[in-house]
Amino acid sequence: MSLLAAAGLASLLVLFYLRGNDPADGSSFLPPCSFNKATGLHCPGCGGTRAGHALANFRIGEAFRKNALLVMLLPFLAAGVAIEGTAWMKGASYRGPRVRLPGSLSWLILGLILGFWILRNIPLWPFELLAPH
Amino acid sequence: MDWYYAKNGERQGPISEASLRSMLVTGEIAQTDLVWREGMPDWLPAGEVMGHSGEDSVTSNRPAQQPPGGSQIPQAGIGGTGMSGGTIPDEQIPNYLVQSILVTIFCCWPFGIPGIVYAAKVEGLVARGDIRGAMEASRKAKTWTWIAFTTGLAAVLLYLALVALGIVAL
Repeated sequence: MSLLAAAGLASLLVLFYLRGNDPADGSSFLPPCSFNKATGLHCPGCGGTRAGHALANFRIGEAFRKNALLVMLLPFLAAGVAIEGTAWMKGASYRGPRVRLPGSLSWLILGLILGFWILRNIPLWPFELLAPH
Repeated sequence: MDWYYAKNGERQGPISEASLRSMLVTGEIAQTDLVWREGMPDWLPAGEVMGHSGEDSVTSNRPAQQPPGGSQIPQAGIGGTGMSGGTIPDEQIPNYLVQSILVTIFCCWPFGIPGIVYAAKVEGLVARGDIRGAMEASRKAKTWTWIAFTTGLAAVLLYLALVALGIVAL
């Protein structure tokens, strides 16, 4: 799917941009989370651009503190984008995404995202470790 | 034109269109059973094919001379749960799981979450052999993913425009 290949390319560009621009000190043009601005709560993606900045500078630990879920899902997402991207470039008989997972794993990922969302908003140790810090 | 159909993991036919229709009526071929004829790029559920008037809707611009996969019925994709025989070409039904997770995390969970729900449903429905349901879930996952993607893109562009106009400070 061309959209996914474009997403992969855009992600690389954003990572490259974030390497020299830290969202924390206001030198990044990427918008902050509007859900966070409106409610003060963290969404599952909050801390994502800061994690991207840390990752682009190879600071894995810091990226993990900003958004642990994103860092954990990243290998899976990158593999997905790579597989779909290659299939798309090979073209010919490509008819749609090829990444197949058992249904239960898909539900597990959904559960992870929702669970992460709730837990990172609990202002108590150890849950507060899941909020960007 | 002669039709082939998949029954118990094996290709059957050729039979005439009239026979195919009557077998559909009698239930000998189910709506969800896969059928193919020359000119179709892939096997499709009989219900899908016979629901349309034929020719235009199912004939691709790449006419195939042989059934896809030679004399074999397409095998189930890797990880197709519960399908040991592999009669259903489930790799044809995209689940949009990766895409919906991406849009959920990077921009818009309100639209991304339903996308993941439908994406997750696709797998279970395929495993149960409910091709029609899986296609429906796949379509909904795609719709939600696109809604999330376009909303996110519009929001980012709007934000950048406001910044450029000096209405919003960085």
